Amino acid sequence: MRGHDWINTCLPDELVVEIFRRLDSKRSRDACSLVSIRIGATGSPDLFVHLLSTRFSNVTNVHIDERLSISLPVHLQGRRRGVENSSASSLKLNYLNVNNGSEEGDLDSLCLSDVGLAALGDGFPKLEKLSLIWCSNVTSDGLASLAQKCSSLKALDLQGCYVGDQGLSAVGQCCKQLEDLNLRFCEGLTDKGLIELALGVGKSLKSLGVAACAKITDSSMEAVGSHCISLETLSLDSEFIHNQGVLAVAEGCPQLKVLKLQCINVTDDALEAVGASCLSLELLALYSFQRFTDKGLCAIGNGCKKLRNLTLSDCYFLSDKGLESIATGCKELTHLEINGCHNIGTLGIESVGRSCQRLTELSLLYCQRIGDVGLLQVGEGCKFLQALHLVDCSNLGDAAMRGIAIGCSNLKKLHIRRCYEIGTKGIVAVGEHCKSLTDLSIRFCDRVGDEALIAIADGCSLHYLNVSGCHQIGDAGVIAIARGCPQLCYLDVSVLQNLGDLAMAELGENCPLLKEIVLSHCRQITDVGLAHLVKRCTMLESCHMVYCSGITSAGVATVVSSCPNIKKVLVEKWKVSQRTKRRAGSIISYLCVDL
Amino acid sequence: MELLCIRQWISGLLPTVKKWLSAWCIKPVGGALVRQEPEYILLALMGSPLKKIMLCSSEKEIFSVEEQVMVQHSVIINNMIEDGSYNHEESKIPLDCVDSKTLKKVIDYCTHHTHHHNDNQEDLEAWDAQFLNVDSNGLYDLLMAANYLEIRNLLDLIYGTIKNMIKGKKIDEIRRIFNIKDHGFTPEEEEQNRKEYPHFY
Repeated sequence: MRGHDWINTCLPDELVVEIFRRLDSKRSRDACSLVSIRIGATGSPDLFVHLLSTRFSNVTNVHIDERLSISLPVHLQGRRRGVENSSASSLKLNYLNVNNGSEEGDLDSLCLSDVGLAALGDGFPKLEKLSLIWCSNVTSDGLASLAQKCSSLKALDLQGCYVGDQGLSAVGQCCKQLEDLNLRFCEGLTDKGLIELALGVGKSLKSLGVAACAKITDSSMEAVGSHCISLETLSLDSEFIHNQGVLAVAEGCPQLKVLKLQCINVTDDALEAVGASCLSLELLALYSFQRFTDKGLCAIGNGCKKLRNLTLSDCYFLSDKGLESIATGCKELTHLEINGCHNIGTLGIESVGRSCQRLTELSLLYCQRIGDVGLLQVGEGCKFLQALHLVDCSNLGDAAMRGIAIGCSNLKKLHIRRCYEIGTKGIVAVGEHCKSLTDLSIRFCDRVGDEALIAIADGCSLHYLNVSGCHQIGDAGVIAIARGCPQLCYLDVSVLQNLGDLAMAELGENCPLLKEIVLSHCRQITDVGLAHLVKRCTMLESCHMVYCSGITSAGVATVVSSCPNIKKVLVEKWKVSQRTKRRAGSIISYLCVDL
Repeated sequence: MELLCIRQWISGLLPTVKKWLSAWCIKPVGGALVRQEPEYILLALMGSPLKKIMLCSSEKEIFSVEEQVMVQHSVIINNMIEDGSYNHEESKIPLDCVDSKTLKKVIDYCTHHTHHHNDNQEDLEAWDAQFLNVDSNGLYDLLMAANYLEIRNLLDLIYGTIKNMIKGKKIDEIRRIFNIKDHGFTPEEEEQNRKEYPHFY
């Protein structure tokens, strides 16, 4: 290894950043950025962006995320392959934002700045989609210069950027084809900017999202209602928006199809306006701590006859009556999610089962008041049900499972978690009747045993199975699955204390398509079983195996060397040898014990 | 013999044997001549009652070192011992990421800094400078080992050295020092850079 160039070839990105951080003068950092492309790309985003724009001319999508750790786009690492006229159209850059508030002088050059953004505009004039995630050094000036160059911009996503009103107005003036705008944690934006943008791109804007932007109020929404006649999607997460704002949009945007609200100050009046005016509404989602009552929901049920998708999350005041009104009014309903609405019980679900014959997906999360009768009715009425999610529904038992299994023979996806009353009998019924089932998850349903898996293996050809925490399941069940489900791609058997190497060997023998496996907390699995597994499962991409006391660094090395497609390994740091690290350092994630 | 008795016996002996032991105390460790304290030599002769742990390099060579020394410096080893995954009687800590040569040097660093933490700043800095008087490959090995074992002060020291190797130097010089033969810029880009920032080259 004489005269080895380790900075460019061996040193991990985080350490290159550390070296950069300690260069305390701008001159040193600028000089260092020019030493090699790898160092420059890692330490100097502005330079890097400038380089990218000279090398790739057809880029239409750029996504810059400064929350995550650094990774170079693959094509730049293979620099010999002639990147002059690359046909890449989409670039994703993840940058570590090292501005951790320390007084260590001028660290700003380590984040994307206005200069970089202007270079982006210069370099990619055909840009259509731009996402800037937590680029804290970007301001209005940068966005304005980019807007002036990129008139084809169709989608803009700003999260955690301190861009001001001038930036957004510039976009409104220059990017007349803008269809999609998403603003999240943009503390620098006020109504002025959004109003000017609405004026500018009102005709083209189809989708708008505003979340956690404290200075955007009802005035902006009124402007949106006045100018954005093509608006189809609106997503609002703000305590500064009241009925007035939502009303303005409901009355002004007749083509509204999707409405998502997480606004604690909005009440039934707004919903009534939506029910009266938004007759094209197809998706409605109401989240956390809303003050809505049945009155509002009934208005929706009476007015929005085309409603297909309804999500009610943590809406405490909604009860069975409101849900009944939706069920009888919205016969086209295909997706229903009820999450933590503690006043909705069996009666509401029964009415859904009776009236919503086209239901294809039902999610009941933290609904302790729903009993077996409700689901039995769903089984009888919703013949086209394809997906059922149940989390923490402690009143549901085997009878409910049987009812669903017998009635919904088209069921493809069944996810149950912590429904402690559901046991082996219920799952056996599923195995006997749901021949189309491909996706099964019964996490922590600890009354389910091996016979259930044997029945499932017999009747269904699963692609996805998660039995994490079902400690009664052992080798017998998993072996049956291995033999009966050759199409298996994803398997999670974590926390199963009775599972051993025999099952691993059987999986290796019979499931060659396996892509992801989670073995964490399985004490009885050893290097031997792991070796048998990876010998034949050559398509394996992800392996989680923390807290497996039977697995050693030899096992980890075997996984890394046997699986050519491996992308992620989660394991304890001290189980990774130097050679394994060299071979596959970037894909290995370590268990963090420092918390 | 109880630990306490041994210690008492040694401290009784020391004044008389210190002189002739001092002749034995010069021992080459990691390329530098280091004085071993007589107390420790004697304890080693007695069969170390001080708690030791065993570190195993990637070449399967075993190094015995005081637990206290490693725990003070390496966050990883400290965590391993704290969460009970290290059993003193039988196990050794496998450090498959570190080769014998580097591990020996790392142990020297930790041992020196633990035993000499009361020395004055200049002496310590001089020792550190001598310690890091290695070639580029050696520096890389030490950096990776210190990063893996999470030895904060050694890492700071190495980064400081690298910073000094970069600071104020021309780019061609930096490339030579770090053996960077293929910088990755296209000929056009390199020419453009040299035109725009001639004072860096």
